[in-house]
Amino acid sequence: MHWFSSLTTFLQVLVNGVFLGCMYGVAAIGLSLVFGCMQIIFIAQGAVMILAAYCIFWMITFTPLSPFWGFLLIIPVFVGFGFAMYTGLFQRVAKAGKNPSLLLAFGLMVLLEHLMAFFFSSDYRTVKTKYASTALSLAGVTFSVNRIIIAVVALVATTLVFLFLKRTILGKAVRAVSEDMGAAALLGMRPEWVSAVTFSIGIGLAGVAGVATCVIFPFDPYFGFIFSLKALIAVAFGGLGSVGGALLGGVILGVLESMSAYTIGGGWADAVAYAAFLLILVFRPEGLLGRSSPEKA
Amino acid sequence: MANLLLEVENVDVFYGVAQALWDVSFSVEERKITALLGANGAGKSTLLKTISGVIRPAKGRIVYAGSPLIDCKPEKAASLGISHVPEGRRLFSGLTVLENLELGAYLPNVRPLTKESLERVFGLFPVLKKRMRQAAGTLSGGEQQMLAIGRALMARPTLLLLDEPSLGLAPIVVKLLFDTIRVLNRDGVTILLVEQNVKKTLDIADYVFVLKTGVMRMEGQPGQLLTDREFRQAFLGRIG
Amino acid sequence: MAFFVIYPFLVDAEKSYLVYFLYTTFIYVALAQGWNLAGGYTGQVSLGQHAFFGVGCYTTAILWRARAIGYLDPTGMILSGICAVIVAILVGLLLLSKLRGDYFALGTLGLGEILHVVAINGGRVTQGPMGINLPSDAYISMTYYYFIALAIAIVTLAVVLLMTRSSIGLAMVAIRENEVAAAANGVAVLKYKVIAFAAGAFVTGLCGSLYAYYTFHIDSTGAFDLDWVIIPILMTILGGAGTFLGPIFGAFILSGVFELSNTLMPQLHPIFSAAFIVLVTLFLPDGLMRYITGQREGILRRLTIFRWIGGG
Repeated sequence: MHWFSSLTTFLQVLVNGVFLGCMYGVAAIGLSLVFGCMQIIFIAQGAVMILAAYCIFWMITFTPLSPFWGFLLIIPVFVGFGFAMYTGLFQRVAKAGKNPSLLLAFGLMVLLEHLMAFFFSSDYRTVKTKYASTALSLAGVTFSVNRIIIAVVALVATTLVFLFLKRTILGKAVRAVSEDMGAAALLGMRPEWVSAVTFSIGIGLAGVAGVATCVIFPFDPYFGFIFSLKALIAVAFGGLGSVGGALLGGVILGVLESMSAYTIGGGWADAVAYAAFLLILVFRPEGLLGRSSPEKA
Repeated sequence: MANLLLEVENVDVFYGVAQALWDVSFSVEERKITALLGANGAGKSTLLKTISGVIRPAKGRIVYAGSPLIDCKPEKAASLGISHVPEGRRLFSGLTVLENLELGAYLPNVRPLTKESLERVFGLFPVLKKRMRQAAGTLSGGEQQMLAIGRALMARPTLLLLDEPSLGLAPIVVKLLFDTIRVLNRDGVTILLVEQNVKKTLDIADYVFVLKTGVMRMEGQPGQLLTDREFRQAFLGRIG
Repeated sequence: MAFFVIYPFLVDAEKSYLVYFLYTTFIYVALAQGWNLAGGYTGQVSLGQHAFFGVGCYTTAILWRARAIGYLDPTGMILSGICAVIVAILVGLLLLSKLRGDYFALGTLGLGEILHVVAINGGRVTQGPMGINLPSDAYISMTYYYFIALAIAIVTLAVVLLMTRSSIGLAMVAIRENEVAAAANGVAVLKYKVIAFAAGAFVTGLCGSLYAYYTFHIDSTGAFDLDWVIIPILMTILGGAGTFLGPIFGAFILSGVFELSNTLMPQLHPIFSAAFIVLVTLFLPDGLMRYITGQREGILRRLTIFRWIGGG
């Protein structure tokens, strides 16, 4: 066990964890939305993130644009991609129950990973930004500008999604369909259309998370699965059905990982995350902020 | 010959391999209150679900406002003016009263009228206005029923299907409920009411159909039925 | 059946590709049916089979290294299976009593990953990430592996058949269809869930043990590879979860697809396989067996309706 040498170190580790958590959080929101509406765990979320990362990589390779423009460009592209994926694939299996949907997501994940490996090679890629080495310092704790931007993006994304769900009629329809698809249909809402919208937003969020990831980590085509897992854990922490919860869950996970990695070493850090995951599932399945009942599965 | 808003013709309905409705036919007159009576499991809810599109009939057809409903999904039925308040109400308990009502006016043709519709509903059910921002799940049974009906009204339906609205409600609330149904009918809404509360239903209905284990057994005006021996035998114990 | 038994003697087992193919397929049949017990029949989808597989691997490897058991030792294999069962019972009681559906699946996934990490960091016992090396000079012939795999598959099928045809099977299906109703009718829900879960774990542990004997080297990545979870599940769902023949067909078909694509286009093999999976879930979501019997039922239903309409 390696304890913290000072308060500053502790704060630094904490802050790093928070930033890491923001990334998990954005991916988690997408996952939570999709699960709420369509009752499937979209295991390919991470793979989609990596796809976005590759898009950014190729974008900066061929254009002089800074990766941060990626945030703006990726969103419409991936929302459209998500819509196509849903109407083309998931809509067909929606009637057949949850197993086929789960499998389809899994098959997609493997397909995406291998396609990316085939076309882009399995080498690690990194994305550099102008601010890569710039950092702010506050009370001895360094805040890398990269990560600050990402945290801001995460907060903006969360707020936008939250406002969408709370203020727009379509957002309310998404919440309604998540709760009771049948009753929603009786009121004239088309479950397929609403599910498509929800899914598209989820994919769009995965895209945003992907852009955030590539700026910080080196990545390869197979990176995605671990991220899906982490996003899943984040959702479990924060609770299904809660947008803020997903972000909070992500941050908690990030901090937990950061702390464990520092104190007891990287290998066990993962175990801590999984153990916490199990504990939450067993003792508080609805997460910290969630409303969905585990019986609903 | 009065206008028939809804005609159900020779409908068979199956749940998997189990048959629930056998050759059921009946009709609903425009602007009237038609009631569907029957014991538990007789198939009343099934029949309503078939009309609103939740279930597809294996045989027979449903004609609404002159045109047959073919392969009609619930969304489509709603857009045609059929509002179904299902058994158990099925409110969005996580959403507020206001949000539930707003979603009632989801359909594009009624959405612009949301504000007026809300005023109408609040006028009928003032308690809903009081609890506007509360989560629907926190309301009492009677209030929830009112919300469910109010939500269905937001769509300005032509045909309102009510599935056992009085279930589990205190007598005073039931009275308010049936008074409201009368008011709605006076305003021009055609009502198909499924109920187990026989007395109150006979008081309010213009015409009654009786369903027994999936088969249409009897029909008639309330006064007629009260003098019918079979009817009295079946339902006498339930009156009062 | 007789073909399977005789074939290895007809050819040079060491070099025969078909023997190898059948060997792996038999193992997949066992793994798929093992998952089918809890996942298909009882409706408790588990994503943690790799936990049991890994436990089986490591138990055998550790015991053999300590010379407590021998090469291809039946005692060792059964012990590995039992260890897996113990884990299953402990974890099963905990998770199955509290979690439903998706949450349970996630819980099992978490379990597998935890054991994975434990194996990596297990110090002297598990030899860390490098894994345990086993004496490969003990290898005698491929035929042994073949027949043991066949035996495991047969035993698994027998177990599944016996369980599903008995009152246990009825309980399992009742739980899958409507757990609340089953409980209300006096079915000891938790007990049967754990039984199904543990039985599947035993078989999976056996397979893990055989894998250890086959590869002579166990490390955390190989033993706890998620492929051991995903591929059997795919096979079962492809063939039809909750059916008896489903996992068998699924195992043969998918195994065949994998090997074929590996041989014909090794570069694109994973892409092709994944695309195959996507297509199957799109067009045969209920699995092959249900599709086939559904066709039969559909025809029967149509005949019935004709009779009906004729009768008025």
